[in-house]
Amino acid sequence: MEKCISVDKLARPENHILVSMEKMRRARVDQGLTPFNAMPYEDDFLRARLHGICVGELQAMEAAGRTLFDFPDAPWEFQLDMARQVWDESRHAEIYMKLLDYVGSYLGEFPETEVLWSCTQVDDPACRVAGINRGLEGLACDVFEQLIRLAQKMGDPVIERAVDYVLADEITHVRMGSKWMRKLTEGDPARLAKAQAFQENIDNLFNFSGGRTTQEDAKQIHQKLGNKEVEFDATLTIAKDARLLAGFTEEEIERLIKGMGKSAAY
Amino acid sequence: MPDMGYKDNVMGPQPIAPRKSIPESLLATVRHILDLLADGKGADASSMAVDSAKDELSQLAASVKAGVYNDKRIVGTARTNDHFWIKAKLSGPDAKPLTIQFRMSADGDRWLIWEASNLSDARSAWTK
Repeated sequence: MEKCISVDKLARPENHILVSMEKMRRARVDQGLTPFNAMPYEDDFLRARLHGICVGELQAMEAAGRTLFDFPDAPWEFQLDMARQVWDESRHAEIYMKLLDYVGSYLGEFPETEVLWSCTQVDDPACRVAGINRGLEGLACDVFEQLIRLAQKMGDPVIERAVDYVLADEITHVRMGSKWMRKLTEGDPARLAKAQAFQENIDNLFNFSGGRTTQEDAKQIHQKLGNKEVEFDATLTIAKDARLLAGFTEEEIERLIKGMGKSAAY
Repeated sequence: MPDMGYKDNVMGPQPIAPRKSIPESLLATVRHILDLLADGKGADASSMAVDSAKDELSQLAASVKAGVYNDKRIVGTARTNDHFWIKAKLSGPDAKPLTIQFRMSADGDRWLIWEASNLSDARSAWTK
């Protein structure tokens, strides 16, 4: 069986719409919107964000499974961690499918893109966990923390608690990534540097061209959600506390903050 | 089996917002476009495309053999804000099935085509 498979090899039903990030970017720009994901000030933010996370969880499940398959010579404990992550991500996907229903959406309302899958395209388990577990799951910590705060403002315990349960798992996934990035590169500083550079590329990819700030620097705007109107962040924020819990160092978080705005990923 | 109580009284979270449906007029327009393509009237369909999509649509129309497709189905939909993605399939007894995808938006009471892709040889749901 082929290793490091490309996105077009992912099994999807015929009625599913999976488009390249470039097509998605063009669709948004043609409507006068920012080129990346739905922003907190957009009407569709909550549905689109939950949908993006849901398909992200599906791809994360597939990615952990592929990591297990792609690196059969990796330590047994590493494989066990990846298998556990497959199970975690499948539960997350189910939770988000229920949340989609809750907010009046459904899997397939929005297209899926390949951007998360592109982070699996590297033939080294250390890079793979650096990129996916530390880069992407770190980003998930940011996105989930913001969703929890939004749910708190909406007074919605369903979203708040559901996302909090998932966030708890993501924190363990980041820790897992940190552990294996270091273990797999022990005594090989060049390999460690390569893994860190891969993660940094992913961090930069998701900087959203300055559409991401610290929580303190986030401009507040009116956001209508259901029948409620709340003041909320105009930007995507970095969850410093959750990232510290996940094992990121102060220095790493600072670097992430300083890097914000330098990328034009999409 | 232990008595688990009255399950009818146990309710999960109720939806907080209604679903947004795909406009029926859009689906009707796509069905009309599929008819035009299947009848070899691609030029008529091209008139519905924005300037940047006219070439794409002409190429798509040129790849559709006229008169060989008797089954035209919309198989998938999705949306990005107010732009809709519609995937459709044309098939016939003597023709290789053709899968195509449009991105469309409303312009007053008509629909515009922003993108048109031939997905026939794409594996899975991937659209390059």
